[in-house]
Amino acid sequence: MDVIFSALSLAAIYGLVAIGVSLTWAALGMLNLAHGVAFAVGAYGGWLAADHLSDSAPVVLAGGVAGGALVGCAIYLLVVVPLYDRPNWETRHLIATLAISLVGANLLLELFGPSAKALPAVFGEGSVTIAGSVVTADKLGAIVSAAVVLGAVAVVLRRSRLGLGLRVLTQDSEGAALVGVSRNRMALGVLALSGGLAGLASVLLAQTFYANPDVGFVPLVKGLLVAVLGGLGSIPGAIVAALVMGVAEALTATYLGQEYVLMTLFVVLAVVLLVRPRGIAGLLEEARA
Amino acid sequence: MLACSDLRRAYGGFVAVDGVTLAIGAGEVLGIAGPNGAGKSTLLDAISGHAPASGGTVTLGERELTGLPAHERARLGLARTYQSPIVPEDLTVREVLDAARWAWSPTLAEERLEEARALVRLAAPERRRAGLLSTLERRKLLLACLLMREPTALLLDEPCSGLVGEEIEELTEIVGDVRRARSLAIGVVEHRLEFLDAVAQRVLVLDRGRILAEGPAAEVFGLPAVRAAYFDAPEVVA
Amino acid sequence: MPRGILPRGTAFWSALFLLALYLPAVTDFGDAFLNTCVLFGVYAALNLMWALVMGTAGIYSFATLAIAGISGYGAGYAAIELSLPWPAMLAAGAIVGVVVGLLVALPALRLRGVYFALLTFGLVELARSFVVQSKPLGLAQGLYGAPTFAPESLSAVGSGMVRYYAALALVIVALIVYAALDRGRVGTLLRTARGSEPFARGLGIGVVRIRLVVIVVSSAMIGFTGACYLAFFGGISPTIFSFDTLLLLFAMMVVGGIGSARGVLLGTALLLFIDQQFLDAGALRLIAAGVVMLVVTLVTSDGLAGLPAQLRERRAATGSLPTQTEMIR
Ligand SMILES: Nc1ncnc2c1ncn2[C@@H]1O[C@H](COP(=O)(O)OP(=O)(O)OP(=O)(O)O)[C@@H](O)[C@H]1O
Ligand SMILES: [Mg+2]
Repeated sequence: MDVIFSALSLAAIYGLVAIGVSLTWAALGMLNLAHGVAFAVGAYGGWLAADHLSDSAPVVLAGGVAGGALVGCAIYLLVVVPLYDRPNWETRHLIATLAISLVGANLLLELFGPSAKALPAVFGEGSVTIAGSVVTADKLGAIVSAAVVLGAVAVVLRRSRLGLGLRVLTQDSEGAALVGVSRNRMALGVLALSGGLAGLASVLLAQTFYANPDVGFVPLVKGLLVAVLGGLGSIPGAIVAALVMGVAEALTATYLGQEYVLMTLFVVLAVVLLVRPRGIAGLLEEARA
Repeated sequence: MLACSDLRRAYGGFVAVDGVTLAIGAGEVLGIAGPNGAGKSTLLDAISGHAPASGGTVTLGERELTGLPAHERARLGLARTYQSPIVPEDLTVREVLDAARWAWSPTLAEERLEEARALVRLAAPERRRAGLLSTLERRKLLLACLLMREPTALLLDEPCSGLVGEEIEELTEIVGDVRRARSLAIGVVEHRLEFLDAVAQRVLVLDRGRILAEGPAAEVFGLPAVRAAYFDAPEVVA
Repeated sequence: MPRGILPRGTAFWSALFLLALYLPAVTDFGDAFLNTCVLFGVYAALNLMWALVMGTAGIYSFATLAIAGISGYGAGYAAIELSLPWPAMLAAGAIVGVVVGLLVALPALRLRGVYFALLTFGLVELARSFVVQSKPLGLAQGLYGAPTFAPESLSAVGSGMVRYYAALALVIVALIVYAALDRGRVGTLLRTARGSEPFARGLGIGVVRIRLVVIVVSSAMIGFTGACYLAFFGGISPTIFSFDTLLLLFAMMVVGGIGSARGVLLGTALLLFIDQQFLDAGALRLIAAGVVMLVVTLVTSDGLAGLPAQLRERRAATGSLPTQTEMIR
């Protein structure tokens, strides 16, 4: 039972990070390697909000989301505006986002120092007993709120103009230009949304990952893993992949030890990719056909 | 002679090429027409091995090509061009020609390169980047690369798309020259009927992955079934 | 363009070679400067091989440091356990490099660019977490006591010279491998396949085989360089697998320009210089590297070394009529 709860909470967090990676890929053909910065800045945003404004849950969460979204906008200005549709975009966006991730993490180090900052537990310190096992309110809160947000994002992307435009773009970029879908405007929305989701994830996870300059690295790697496992550009794929990876990580951590987690995740990814080069999205498509 | 028999290709549940059987003799030009989405490009993909066929066989002369990867089929003498004139944009014209000369051993002599270049009237400067060439020049460059190896069959996918009046005339002449000089089996997918009329001895109309009609250009396009296929298609074809 | 008797660039490379050859005679070497030179040799060799895989072949591999580190650790461990001399250690490094390279190549030939990039990113992290937990490999402190180029009997100045010229030789070997695979038949075919894979296959190019060749050869050289690192410094530590090191080397390669050996050497020298300047400045060091990387990427399309060509093309484009290339898909 414990394993199930840790799997679910991991899945929820990875889902939030991975969807951003996947959406950005779908909209721009861009692998955002600076996504970890959004996560880290989100954590500091939450910490600053708690420190200067109030440590009530909505304020802290808003601080995290705002921090992440801000990074998304910065990436839009620094990478998409000057480089999109220019020669070597495929290589240059990787370099530019890597550079931002390098600068971002070290800027945080310069500004706030290496020590970790503790965020208030947004869901309180209590715990509940479900089916015989004790779950902290924090974990439960993280699972529920991430699930709600993920569901909301999925619904919004089905219904809204942004979602429609995005689907048009992934299907046929020239056709999209003809019917007036602007990739440029879409890009800002997608990057801000992705950043905000990463910021949210980092506040929800703040009891496990304390805010520190390098805090974005592991979520970036795992978010990328999940997004790729799910098949870049596929939201359902990313959600299924987050569950798979969450379970794999929880099982490994419980029965083998924390140090084998990354190895297991990579083995899972490598095996799936070698069988289905397009990841879980490929499997889902086949199941439908 | 290039032949395929009962060739199929499906995307998921959608059958894009649905049992096509055809043969092109040496020295013959076969035109392939059909409304948008009829499966013409997919047919070429399946013949040339760029997308694996879901069923059926392909033979070139005595050789069975079914199941071989695209580059093996190219080495056995099956050449094809693409609807969009893809060339590696970063390379110079010279480098692209060299790539064809060196593509597999033995390396070709310089004369073969010059011969192919003259045959397709490629005049682009050697040091120019291929990405800066005009559409026609790119098509000529690709043709020169392919003809260097003296293939026995050549498939062209919409060679006229993106070209204007005079360019189409020049291309018509080039296809004629190639046929006379090399006597290979040529298949041309094209929407422009006057082009097919000028180069092809025989035309085949494809609709929804199946052969709808076959015969001399003038006759085929008069058939009611063919007219109906074009008018039922979502886009009207010139 | 007139074609000289000598290949293009002969003057440039000869001048550079002579300068490197006589540098020790005209400046007096401090320990720090010597170490920087040696580090330059190692980084330049790694970056040249990386540029071959990523630039010439267009394979998005981030496995360079993983291969170098694994080979270095493997060869060093074998050399210490079996008390091998340094030449045997270098050979072992090359062999381990080929083996790891082949393992990396398997998915490379099947997966699309970004998917592969990620898998290789993971390899670095995997190697790091393995090494820092392995007692025989020295945990987080690293593995020390490997045989070195300079025999112990040599004076400090003498051993400095040995290390300097060994580093120079390493760069030259890497340049030769680079030139052999970047130009000529293999390079042209690799770049054709990078430009358009359907085009390459249509010409009959065996894309898979040619990519396998570049991965195997470059991995052997990377493994060899990894073992050289131990022969220079006597040991190796897990920092070779750190994300910062990976980024620094990547920055070196792209700032100068992946497309040419000149660019790679230029970028390596420039960023190594910045890195050494800010060595004591903590986080500023990586901020500086990142800012340089970002600015160069935003301004140039192919690194600093590609700038002249970029300007020439822009001038040509504004001077004459617009080309037709972007009209047709
Ligand atoms: N990768 C793909 N996945 C799914 N369906 C595809 C794919 N490629 C093509 N199709 C479908 O297969 C059918 C045949 O496409 P094809 O490109 O062969 O048509 P075509 O006859 O060449 O048309 P056009 O004249 O526009 O070039 C079309 O309905 C197309 O939508
Ligand atoms: Mg077509």
